[in-house]
This record gives sequence, structure tokens and C-alpha cells, in this order.
Amino acid sequence: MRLTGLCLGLLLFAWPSLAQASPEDLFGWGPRSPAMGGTGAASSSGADATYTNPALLSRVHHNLLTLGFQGAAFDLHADGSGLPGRVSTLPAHGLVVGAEVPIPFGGILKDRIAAGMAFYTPSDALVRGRILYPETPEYALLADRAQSLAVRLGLGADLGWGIRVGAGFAALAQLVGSIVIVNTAGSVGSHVDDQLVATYAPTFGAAWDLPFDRADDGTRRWRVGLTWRGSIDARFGVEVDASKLSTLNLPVFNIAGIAQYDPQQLLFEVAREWDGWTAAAGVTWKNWSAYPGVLEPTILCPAGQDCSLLSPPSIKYSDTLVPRVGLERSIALAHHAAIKVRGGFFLEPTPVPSSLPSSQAYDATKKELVDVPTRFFDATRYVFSLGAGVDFGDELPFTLDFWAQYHLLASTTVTTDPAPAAQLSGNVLAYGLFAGVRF
Amino acid sequence: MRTALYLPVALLGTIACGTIASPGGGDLNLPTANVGPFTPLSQAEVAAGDVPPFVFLQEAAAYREPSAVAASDDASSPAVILYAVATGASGNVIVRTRADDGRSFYGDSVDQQSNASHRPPVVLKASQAWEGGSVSGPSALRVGSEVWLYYAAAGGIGLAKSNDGGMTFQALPQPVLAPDHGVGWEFTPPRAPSVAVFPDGSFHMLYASGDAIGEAVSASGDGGWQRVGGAPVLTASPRVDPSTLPEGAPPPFDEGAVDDPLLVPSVDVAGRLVVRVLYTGYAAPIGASSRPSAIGVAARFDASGVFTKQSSPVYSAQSGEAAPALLQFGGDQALLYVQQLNSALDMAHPFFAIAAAYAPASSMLGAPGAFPSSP
Amino acid sequence: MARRLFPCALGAAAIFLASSNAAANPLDPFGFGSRETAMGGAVSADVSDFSASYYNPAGLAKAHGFELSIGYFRADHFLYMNGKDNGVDPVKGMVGGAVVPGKIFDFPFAIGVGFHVPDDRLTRVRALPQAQPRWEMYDNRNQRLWFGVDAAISPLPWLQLGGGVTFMAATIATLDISGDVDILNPYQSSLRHQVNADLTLVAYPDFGARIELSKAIAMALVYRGQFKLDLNVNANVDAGAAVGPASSSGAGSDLTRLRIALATDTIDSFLPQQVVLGWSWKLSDDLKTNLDVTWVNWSAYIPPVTKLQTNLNIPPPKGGWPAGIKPPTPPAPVSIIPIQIEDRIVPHLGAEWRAIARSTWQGFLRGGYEYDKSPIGAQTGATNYVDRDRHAFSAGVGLRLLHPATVLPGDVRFDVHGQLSVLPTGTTVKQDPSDLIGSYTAGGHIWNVGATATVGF
Repeated sequence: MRLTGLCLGLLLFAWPSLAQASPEDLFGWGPRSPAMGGTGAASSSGADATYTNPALLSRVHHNLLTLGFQGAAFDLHADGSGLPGRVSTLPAHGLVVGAEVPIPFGGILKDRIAAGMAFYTPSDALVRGRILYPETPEYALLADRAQSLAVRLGLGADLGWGIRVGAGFAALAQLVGSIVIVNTAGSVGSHVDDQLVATYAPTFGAAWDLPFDRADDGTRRWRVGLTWRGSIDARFGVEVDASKLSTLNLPVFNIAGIAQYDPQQLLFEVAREWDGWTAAAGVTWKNWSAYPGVLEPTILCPAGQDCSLLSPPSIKYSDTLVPRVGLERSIALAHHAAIKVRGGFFLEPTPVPSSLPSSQAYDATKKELVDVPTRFFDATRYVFSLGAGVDFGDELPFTLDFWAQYHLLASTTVTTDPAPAAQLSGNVLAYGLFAGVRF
Repeated sequence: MRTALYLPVALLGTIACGTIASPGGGDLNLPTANVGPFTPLSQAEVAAGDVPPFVFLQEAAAYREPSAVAASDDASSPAVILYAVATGASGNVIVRTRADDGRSFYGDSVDQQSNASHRPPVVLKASQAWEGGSVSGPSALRVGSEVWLYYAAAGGIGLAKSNDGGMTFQALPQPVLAPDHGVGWEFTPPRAPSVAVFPDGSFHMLYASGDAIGEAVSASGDGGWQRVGGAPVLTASPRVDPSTLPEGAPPPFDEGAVDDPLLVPSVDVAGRLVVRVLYTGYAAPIGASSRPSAIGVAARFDASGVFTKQSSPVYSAQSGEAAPALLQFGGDQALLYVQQLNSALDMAHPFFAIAAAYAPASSMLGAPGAFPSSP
Repeated sequence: MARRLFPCALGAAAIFLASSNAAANPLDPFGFGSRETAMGGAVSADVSDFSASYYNPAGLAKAHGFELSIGYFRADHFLYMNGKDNGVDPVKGMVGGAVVPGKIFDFPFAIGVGFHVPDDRLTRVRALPQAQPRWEMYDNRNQRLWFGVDAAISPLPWLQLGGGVTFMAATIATLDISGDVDILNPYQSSLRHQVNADLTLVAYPDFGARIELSKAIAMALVYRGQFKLDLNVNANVDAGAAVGPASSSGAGSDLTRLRIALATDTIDSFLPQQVVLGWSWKLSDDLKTNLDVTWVNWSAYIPPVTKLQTNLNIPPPKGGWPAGIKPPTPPAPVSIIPIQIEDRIVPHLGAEWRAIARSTWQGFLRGGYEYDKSPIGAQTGATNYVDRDRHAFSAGVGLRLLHPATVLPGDVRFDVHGQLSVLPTGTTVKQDPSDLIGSYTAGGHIWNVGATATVGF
């Protein structure tokens, strides 16, 4: 029996998931972690942990529902001969919903297990998908990736002795289908059959509160966290079959590509919490070398058939290491209220090589195949973040938070034969506003 | 404690699953009148070497005006015997061929490339004065243990019978339906007969004359044919002023003439007799320099009366298609055979050959079989 | 202070709800949750578990503790035309959800999550020519995911209110194909493509109210909004046509230029708006009877028939086309025939008897009935949207374990259900003798079985 993943129900939000998804991979997720340089694998304490480290959901002891608004504005440049200068990029913004729910077991499981949900939906278009011709300048790993749904669920458990484990998953859907055009006696009819099937990536996390340097109340101050996220990819694949439109031998068109891809990731982080301070530092390994690229061939060559077809460019992506640091200061007020100030930094190296291979295209004027440049741009980003929050404590069952990030793209020169090299630069300003309600 | 631990483990277990695409269903065994619409066979559906949709081709013979009868008692089998007109040395003759898969016909030009002796036998040629030296328009019908072959000739419609399974025929000495100059609309001798036995046992014949189609009935089928009424049962559609048509809508495809009827009677699930007819519709009248054609369908509920047409053709290839023949099999599948101009060998000098099309139009036949070893 | 902030809390809940929920087709005929299905779906005034997300979100506010549910159901179609099985896909998959109760300013408040995730696919969009016979209500509409998140609050002890906004996505996609087509050997063609697609938001509201008229009688009013998916896919081919493959040393024998534009527009998975009026009578401590009456606005239904526009611009090459090649000609437009369909009132009846009540466990017997009169008119014309009246008989049993373990301070419930839907065979008689489908009989039955387990805390 082909069983379905629990809560993959959320995948409906990822309906025809035609995009470079995962805004959380760009900016982080939640009211707190993005303000702290995307740290959280050892320091999260709420719904943020659904993304950063589900083991830390076990720190949740109250129902909290979080609503937020998140956005990003892009100023991305590609300068050089034949290039547009500023690359047209629409701003991204959307709604964030998070939930953290302790599961009220009794006995020895009391206050040990909690679940979390992390959800982001763009407000303009639920998902924006662009699979462009290779010579079209685009920052596909940056701009379009911000325009997609993000859905995650997680469960964390406190095993005791300072050890916490958790698991969760990210979910998307991929579209497979066909459009068959039939010309029957001069009357054109169509059969459309498209199906969404689930694609998902598991997340596993662990954390350990180190048994030294305790606070006066016995609380352990140091914690290490380790999180593994599986890769997630969603393919867009529609076959357009107009071969029976006439006696013209039209091939079956394979309109397909990898519409979304997040590489496999491993996070390690160390955090210390003391006297209202939280400091965290960590590193994330991203397995970009496994990225198959965006495009698929427009015509698939059947087995045993002699074919002479165009192949999309093959870019050799590299694995990356992302160092992160974050800091939070919580100032306690009366009635358990608190004000929190946060800051952080991370360095996101680009997985795209500085020399991009050429692509092939058919030149209608020359009536021959020609080489064209591949302009699949990306650049290393230096990301500075800050944020603040207030918890109204016993006065009101609400919390408020905001964060902002400034992404500075390192000036980069990319060779794009046969065209002259491209000079890349730019910046991204991202922000988020959140309100939470305890119930 | 044990119960509590099982729950999260079970939840995580379910997470490690995903949906898997599978082909959608819901379109099996759908009802159909089984008279189209048809799509021409593709390269994958015809014998290797044949140029689709042609399945029975020989340039010198210029096979045309097919008539099909099932070659098997198995209603699911596409095996078919085809009678077709061929150009002979001294006038047109009727030949026989067979295809066990409904497509790979004995004696097709591709078959002859590897089997030179495979020549479709002539089963009927003009042998009587009233025939005027040529025969055409075969309509084959199983009657008991015999095969009856109605055909057209200069002096009307004749009948030949076979008691060896349709390999050899003996023609009756006189036509079974001769021209009647008292019938105003029949300004040419009757031609292109199509005969079927109705549930009450009566024989009904549709035939073409002039630019219309008439009907005759007989109790025995081999004599006593009487014309039904004094008017045709199927005529060309009235001409339509193109300026009055909705944007993009084509004029009727059969404004010029109707011809080549193929009678297909049946009883539907409501117990009603449904008499369907496939026919050739011409957009221009007889004598016009260009006469685009297509295959249409018309029907009526009673044993007699005029037919109601489908406005769209069931087969159109813009290649002179005409003279439909039909093999219904498997309950919901049908192969349509028509004569159609083949320009694959010589664009300047196209010739007629037998093309095939398949219904349901959204499906495809499987791979073709081998050519049979006998006709 | 608390009372003044109540509207704020409600507003916050409303904003949250705007981000949740989904459409409900498979749950209409086959129910949601084994208890509810066994009771014929007549539970709008008598539901407080995860299935309240579908039946009546107001019921969530009656939840006493955190609940997790998981289950599975499978509905197999045995639907026939002319006595032959049409192979309609089964609807099968997991169901489940959670209820998270709490309080805001001392008002009972709860969030409920429910889902049905099919085994084979999350959703399927399928459009067929309008003349092709299909089981309109069962063939494809139920092949879809359902996910709901709702919130509820009880501002007064006898009143519960709840609701949400459902949304899914409509698709607009443009597929561009360019290059060079070898018209004699398509696998020597030099083509590439690009995709430009947006998924836009489609939202509809659903909300409900539950009123306790007395300790024994409650009534409910539920509204579910209209929903549809729009799939708009355009494919443009702009390519050279040649004989022989293109290469860097030149094209094959260049003939002409193909410009083919296909535009498809499909409305699929239409879900009509519904209003449910429900009652629940507690005849004794052990026996309940329920009645739901659902108005379904089927008259607004849009069938999933693709509107197809094809534009061809293929000038003939100098010297004419090669032998055997005939280019496509501009096709005749296909006019969509409006479906004849009417609004319907659907009654649901259900009963639940607590047959056994012990200090540690309880046993329940349930039964129900639902009558769906087909809203689709007789298909005597060119369309073939096949449907028949449906009589759905259901039954089930339940087991509730009270305080089964120290770590489970609440209860554990196991429920199973079986439902037999009978669609009496009828004959569709065509008026036009030349109809290419002809008259046919249609009818059959559907078996639906499933089980649900719930852990209450």
C-alpha cells in the first residue's frame, strides 16, 4: 500500500509548485532566528525550532500562535556588454504563520513533547516559477526562491539529562501531467490530466544541554545543537503532445525542469544562555554539488532512437559552508514581561562557479545552432541582521517581534562565454513583523 | 510509558512516506455508438514500411471503395476481410484481402516486397452485359453460411453470392436494383450499395444516385427490392452563406453532395432500433473542379424515414477520402477504412489507396501484427 | 481589560484563519472521520474532534483537551455503464488531525486541524471533451487533498462560533518552445523551452455556529463557500521547420516557420457553496439522534471541460510540402454546452448509542443514512455528465478507553465505519439518433470502509 505522509496535507499550499522555493533558506524562518543571523540550532525556543532544530520544540510549554508579515526588496546588478545592469526582480512579501503546541502527556512525559508548525505564503502569487532560457540574466537562486510557499512541521522531545531530539519535515508538491491535443476530423479537442504528487524532506535534530557552567537555579547555560535537513526538490513536468494535430511529425514536448531545490544541509551550533543573554555561533554545510540544475531537455530521446537534440547547460555547483553568529539580550520587566534585542551575521557563499559553460540555441536568422552565454547568476552574500521583541507577560497574552536583514552581494566577476564577462553586485533588504497570541 | 512512546514513533513513521503518481482511471468501457470520430492511424499503428494512414496500397491497382466484414466469430478480434475495387486490365474489378490485426493486409505493397506471390485475388469482375464491363462499390454481407456481395455496375446494382467463405462469387444474371427513370431525384444509375439485415429480418439497402442517397427494402435480399418512397433519405446540406456563420465556424462539409452510404443498424439499450449511416460528404457539387470531402454520420430511430446528421464529420483528412467501410470490434473499438489519395510516392500523381482510422479517437491501437499468409 | 481585548483576539484569529484550509470534495460523499461517517455525516451539531474542521468549526470550542487523531479510509467504486465497470479510481488515503483547546481572556478557544491526504496523488486536474461520458461526481472531483485549519471561540456558554478561510491556488502558466523542428524525424529537432508560471490565490470562507437550546438539544448552522481551481496553460511553439537536423554547420533543408499557440483554460474541482442546518437530540445519556439538512448550490457548477484555442501560422514552403506531409489547418472552434444542473437539499440522518458504559471503557454503535438526489439533468443531448441518485447507508462501532495509562490522562478512542452507497441503475436516452455516444445505462455502488484512532489528553 502506498501510504501518504501525515500532514502532507499541507502540501495543498504548494499546489503546482513551480518555483525555486524555500524563502526560509534565504532569510531563515520565524520571529527570532532571522534576527540572530539565522542561528537557532542550539538556541531556538519556539516555533522557529521547527526550521532550525525540531529537538528544541521540547522547550515549548504554552500554546502560541504567531502571525507575521515578511518581505524582501532586491537590488541586483549584472553589468557588462549585453547585460541589463540592474536585473529586473520583483519584491517578495508574504504571510507567516507559526504554531507551537505542547502535547499534554502525563506521567514521566509531562512537559516533554511539543509540536511546531512553520508556514510562509507569498502574498502576490503563492508560487512564482521561472525556468528561463539560459541566456536570460537571472538570479534564480536568490530572487525567485523568495517567492514560494514554505511548509514545515516538527516534533521535539526532551529525553532528560539535557538531551533533546526532534524530527520534522518540509513539504512541497510537484506537478506531472500531460496535455494531449487531438485533431479529430477538423475538430480539435484536448485531454488535460495533471496530477500533484508529494515531495518532502525530513529534518532531524538533536541538542544537548552541556553539564557544566550552570546558573544558580541549576539551569545549564551551554547547549550544542545538530540538525540535518534532507534535500527537497520539486519537478515541473508537463508533456504537450500535439503529434496528432496533423501529419506534421511534431515531437512530444517535455516541458520540464527542477522548479524547486533546497540542498541537503547539516547544521552545528553552540549557544550560551545566561542572565538574559543568548549567544550562538554555528556553521551550516549545504550540499549544492548535488543540485542537478534547472532545465531538462525539451525532447526526450527514446531508447534505441538516433537523436540529435539540444541539451541544457550543465553547471558544476559547489558545496558551501555558511558560518553564523547571533546574540539576544532579554530585559525582564514586571509581570513576566520582557523586551528583547537581537543581532547577528552570516556569510552565505555562492555555490555557482565563477565560470559558466555556454549553452546551445537555434538561431532563426542564421538557421543554425549557435553558442549562447549561460547567465545563471549568483554571488556570495554578507548578511547583517537585527531585531527586537516584546512579551507582554501576564498583562496580555501577546508577543510582538520584528527583524531586518541586509544582504550585501560580494562584487563578483563571472565569465559567460561566448559573451564578455559579467560583473555582479547588489543587495537585498529583508524584514519581518510578527505578533503572537498565547491561548 | 510504552503507549506514550509508540505515538511519536508512529507519527514519524508516517512522515517517511509520500504520494506516488499513478495513471488516472475512470475511462474504461465507456459507452459509444462506435461510429467515430476517428483519427487516422499513426506510424506506430501501421505495418513497418507503410506510410500512415495507408494500410492497403498498390499504385497500379489504386485500391478504393472498400467493404469490410469480420473475419472472425470472436467479436473482440480486429481480423477483417476487405473487398475493394481495383483497376484491372479491362475495367474495374473487386479483389479480396485480409488482415488479422485489422491493418496489415495481405498483398499490400509492403507485403509484396517480401512476398511477391501475395497478390489479392480478384473475386468479381464484369461478366454480364448489363454491367458494362466494370464493377464497383462492393458491399459484403454474411447471410447464413454464405457471403453476399452487392456491387454496382452500369446497369444498376447486382448481387453475387459465395458459399466458400467469400473466396469466389457467382453473380446473379440480372441487377437486383435497376435504374428507375420514374424517380426524379435519381439522375444517375444507382451505385455504392450498402445492405444490412434489420432485426425484423428485412433487408435494407442504401444506395447513391446523383447527389443523394436513397433506400430500398427486400424481404429476401436477393430479389424483390422496392424503393422506399419517392424521395432520398439523405441529401446534401443546404448551402449556408458564410457571412451568416459564427466566427471561425466552418460551413457544412456536405453542401455539394452525399455519396457512398454505409448502413449500420443496431438496437440501443433503450430497445430502440437505431439506423446509422456513414457517408461521404462533398463540399462542392458533382462536376466541380475541386470537391473537398469528408466522412459524416447520420442516423434515425425507425426502420424507415429520413436521417438526421451530425454536423461535424467523423473523419477528415483533406485527401479525397470517400467510401467508408467499418469494422466494429471489442465492444467499443472500430476501424474505419476509406479510399484516400496517396501522394507519398509522387506528389504530382497521387493515387487512391485504402487508409484506416481508429476510434476511440483518444486511444491508439497496439503494435501491428504480421501480414497474413493468405487472403 | 479582558473584555475590551476580546474583539482583538477574534481579529487575530480571523487573520490566522485567512492562511488556512482547503477544499472538501472527497469529504462530501465519503465523510470525514469514522464516527462521523458512520452517523451519515449528520454531526454538525454534535462534533468537537478534528472532523469539526469540516463539519462545523464552531464545535472545536467544545473540545475539553488536546486531541490527536489518525485514520484511513478507502472508497471503492463499482460504477457501470452499459453493464461494464468504468474503472473509476478509488478514493483512499489517510485522515486525521488535531484539536488544540485553550482560553483567551477566559473564553474557551480552540484551533483544529484536519486533513485527508490521498495515497496516489495530492490532486488531479483532469479535463475531458464534453461529449466523453464520465462519472461527473466520482471520476476525478474526489481525487484531491483536503486540509483545514479552523478556530473557534465560545463567547457565551450556550454559543460557539468558528470558521476559517479556505484557499488553494489557480495556475497560470506559459510554456515557450523555440528552435528547429525536423518534421520527418522529430528526434533530430533542436528545441528548448522556458516556463513562466504563477500560482494565484483562490479563497473562500467557511464558518459555523452551534447553539445549545437545552442540555439535550443543540442546533447548528454552517456555511461552506464556493471553490474552484482554474488551470490556465498556454503553450507557444515558434520554431523553424526543416527536413534534417540543425547543426552548428547549418540547418537541415529549411522549409518554413511553425507558429503554433495553444491556450487551455480549465475549471476543475468545483465545489458549490453549501449551507447546513443541523440538530442533535440527546434522547438519554446513552442515545443521540442527529439530523443535518444541507443545501448545495449545484446550479453554479462549472464542469471541467477545457476551453481550447488553437492558433496556427504555418505558411507553406516554397515548392510545397514534402510527400505525405499535410500541415494542420485552423480548427473549428468548439462551443461549450452549458450543463443542466440544479440546487439540491441533501438530508443526513444519524444515531449513536452508547451500548456499554464501564468505568474504564465504553462501547458505541452508530448508524446513518444520506440521500443525494443527483443534481445533474438528464443527459439527452451531446454532453455526458453521468450521475445517479445516491443512497448512502452507513454503520460503525466505537471503543473508548478511559484513562488508559499514566502518561495518557485522557482517553483513547477507536472507531470503524462502513458505508454502502447505492446508485440505482437508470437509462440515459438520447434524443438525437446520430449522437456519437448513443443511449446507455448507468448505475452501481460504492463501498467505503475506514478506521480512526484518537488520543485525547
